[in-house]
Amino acid sequence: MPFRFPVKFELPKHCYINARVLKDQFKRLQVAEHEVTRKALKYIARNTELPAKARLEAQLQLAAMPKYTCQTQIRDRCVATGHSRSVISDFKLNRTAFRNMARANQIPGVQKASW
Amino acid sequence: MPKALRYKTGKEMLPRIFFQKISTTELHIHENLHRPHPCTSSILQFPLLLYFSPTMSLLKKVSQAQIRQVKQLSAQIFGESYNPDNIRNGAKVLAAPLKGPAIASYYGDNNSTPTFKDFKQWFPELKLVDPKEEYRVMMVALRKKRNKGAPKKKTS
Repeated sequence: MPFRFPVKFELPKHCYINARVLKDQFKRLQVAEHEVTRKALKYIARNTELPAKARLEAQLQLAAMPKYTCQTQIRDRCVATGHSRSVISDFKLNRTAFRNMARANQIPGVQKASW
Repeated sequence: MPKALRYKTGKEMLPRIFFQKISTTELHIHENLHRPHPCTSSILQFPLLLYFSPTMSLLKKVSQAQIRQVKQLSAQIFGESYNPDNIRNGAKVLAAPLKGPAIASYYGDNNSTPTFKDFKQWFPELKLVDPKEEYRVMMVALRKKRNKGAPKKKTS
């Protein structure tokens, strides 16, 4: 059976696995791989001191790059549930997962607030 | 009591002047009357040239070209970029730090800690059993037996 993504990668072992999580992980790996190329192309496209033809070519090449190399496609997901909404970035957890873990004293230094 | 002998109460007792609004500008002027305005302090009355060279006359003005040269030299010395006309040269694209490694390691490093599967692989003689996985596999087998398993994946 063929791998469902263009490039084969190792599945993450220490978080909740989901089809969406796998998609996101694939995108992240591809973004990291193509980051330098994309940055170089963006620099050429944005530099007004370079000849217009080079800038245009760079812009076209940037647009032709696969969309899974774009940073804006990435979405932070909850590491415990795979949910992408209400994710607290400091803990990489969804608000409900955070609450459950915090109440079970599994997050160090977090207790019920009262002041 | 007859109407003519009605006494004044509360608001009616205070004279009308108390309800006039005192403007805030008036208050500020009053506060700073005894303090001189900061712009008129003595130190800024001398031109900044005083600190450049002893041969320069205090009355001679510095040209814009000279100031530009100084700024350019300063940037060269300290290894900074110099772009006085704010030309869009894409420097900010290059100046931003790379975020690739941090993004790729969001879901954790696989080699940081071993999992149950790793232990099973390393010590097959121990015949380790994960109770939750065992239960799941048992339920899937039972469902398949009574024709309630997952439907076949559509190929097209």
